[in-house]
Amino acid sequence: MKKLLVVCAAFIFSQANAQSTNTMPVADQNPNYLQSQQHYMLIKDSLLQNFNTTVQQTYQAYDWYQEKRARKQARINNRQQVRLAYANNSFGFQSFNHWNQFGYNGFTPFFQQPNCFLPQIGYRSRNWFYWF
Amino acid sequence: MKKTFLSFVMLTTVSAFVLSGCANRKVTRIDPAEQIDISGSWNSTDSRLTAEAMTKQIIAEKWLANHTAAKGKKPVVIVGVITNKSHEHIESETFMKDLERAFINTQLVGLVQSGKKREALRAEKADMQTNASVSTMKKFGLENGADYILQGSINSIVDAYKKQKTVTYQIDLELTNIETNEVVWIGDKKIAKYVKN
Repeated sequence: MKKLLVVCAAFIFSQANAQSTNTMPVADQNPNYLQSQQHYMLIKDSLLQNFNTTVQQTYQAYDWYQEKRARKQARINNRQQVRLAYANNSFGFQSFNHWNQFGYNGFTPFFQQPNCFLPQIGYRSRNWFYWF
Repeated sequence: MKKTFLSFVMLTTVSAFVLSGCANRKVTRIDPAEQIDISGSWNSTDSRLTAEAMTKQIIAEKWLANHTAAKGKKPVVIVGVITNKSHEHIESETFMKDLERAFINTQLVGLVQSGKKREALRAEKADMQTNASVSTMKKFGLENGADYILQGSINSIVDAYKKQKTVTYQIDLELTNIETNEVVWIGDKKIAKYVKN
């Protein structure tokens, strides 16, 4: 029992000694430096993970010419989408008219359709088969 | 059967000729130091100019002589975070590596590893504790501590109207004493471009 107490005391003394060696203040050192040290010891991994790398915080610069080209491309894409929509609805069914909506049966007379004067058959509609 | 086979061979040959004729891509090796500007964006010439300017400034400035005079040994530097705040994706490693190489080649500045590479080194050291022989095992706690940290930023200013554009890049690097937070050196490189579409 006595031996065990001696070993424990020696261990505690060595730990305390190590602590005091680590935390020995030097001349003119702030007496509260341990608060800061303990704070940064906890978060150092997250703060150091981007070391020796380039953190990309880029912004979008306004370029008049590039914006113009982008608008033109958007118009081209939009026209293509419209053409595809017409091609897919070339039988007179309108995708937004569901069955019996507001008492309506879903069919629109030909001359009331928005695309009635556009060709129902041909290159624009891509419909070469079901023309009857 | 023979006729079909011959037709197939002829068709394949003709197709190969036609397709090879369509491919008009030409690739040539160029000197990496040659200045070729294509789009006006950040390119290898900008990176090289930055590396040259920064290396020249950091080696020639007074901080190096001051440190050596005060401490009696060469300073040790660690590379910190470089923040790209410009409008383009720019990888700073292309010019930072040139700078690090200059530190090592001139033997005027010591360099310690940082970031993911340092993590890998520590992981290797940890692996050694259980797998390497005692005589070759490397110990923890004997790393070289850095005296200075090198941090930086990349900024840009864009002015564009119709088909004309000016872009100015500003690359700043700062060297700070880790113990005292004193900034001992600031290097900068400005690159301005005029682009007409």
